[in-house]
Amino acid sequence: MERETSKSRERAWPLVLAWVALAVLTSLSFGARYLPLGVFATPVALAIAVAKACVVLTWFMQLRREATSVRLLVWVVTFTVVLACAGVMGDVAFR
Amino acid sequence: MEGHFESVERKAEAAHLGMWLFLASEVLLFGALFAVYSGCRVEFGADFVVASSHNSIAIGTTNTFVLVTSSLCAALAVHGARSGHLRRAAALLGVTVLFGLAFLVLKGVEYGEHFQSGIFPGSHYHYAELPTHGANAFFTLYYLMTALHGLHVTGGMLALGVVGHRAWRGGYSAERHLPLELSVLYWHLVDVIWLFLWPLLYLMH
Repeated sequence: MERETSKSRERAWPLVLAWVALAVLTSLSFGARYLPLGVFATPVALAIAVAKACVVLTWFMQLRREATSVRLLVWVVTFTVVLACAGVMGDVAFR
Repeated sequence: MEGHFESVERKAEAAHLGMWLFLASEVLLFGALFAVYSGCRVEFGADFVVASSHNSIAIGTTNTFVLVTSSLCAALAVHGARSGHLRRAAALLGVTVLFGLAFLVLKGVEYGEHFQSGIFPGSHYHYAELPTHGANAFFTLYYLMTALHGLHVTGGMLALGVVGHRAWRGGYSAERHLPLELSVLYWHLVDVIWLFLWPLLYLMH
């Protein structure tokens, strides 16, 4: 299977580096919990979560190697979830 | 030729696309819950912050490290399978399943602590320290989201257990191990969902 044999030449260290990045970002989230960030606390925590999700998608799930249709699917689903959350929040806030 | 596919590569691509479509449906399932959470957060902002402080940050954070490390093991298992080290891949999948088990045990410990305090979902909620509708809504969503996630963790453990066993028995090769790759993709999604549950349920202040 060409798709798989071409991948077999990959090294494992980028995966370990990705895990280190995830551990650092997790520690950052944990530390930010105790900072006086006020209204920015949740946005900061979610921004770090997005960064971690990008690391998992890019290096562990190897999204960059998938077909364009798959990458488009991920964007569409992400946009849909963000739109749903924003819509519900707006509805409750301005009801 | 593989079935009605013109080549093995095309079959693998189709299988990957199918798996990603399934993962997308799972994200939409959790996305609906995140949308409900967002609305309740606006409605009961202060109550949600106070209620979240009653979750164990130590358990939530430990579970985050557990799942992130399990994802590394799963990714290394795929790397091992692609390199032809099927036994190593199977062992790494076994470690991944053990991490999943540790996650569920810790989650069970946290549930037990909540139950002892009277923190139950919905109309069974009777936590004297936080007798507000907002706290009730927070913990109902907490149980709904974490229990659904726990079910996905369990499903992922079963899938990884099956493909790990098959890899150990020599059922795959460096060229043919598609079920292993797809099961690991599912496990990574379980990890990604937790990466968002953790700040929303444990880190608010």
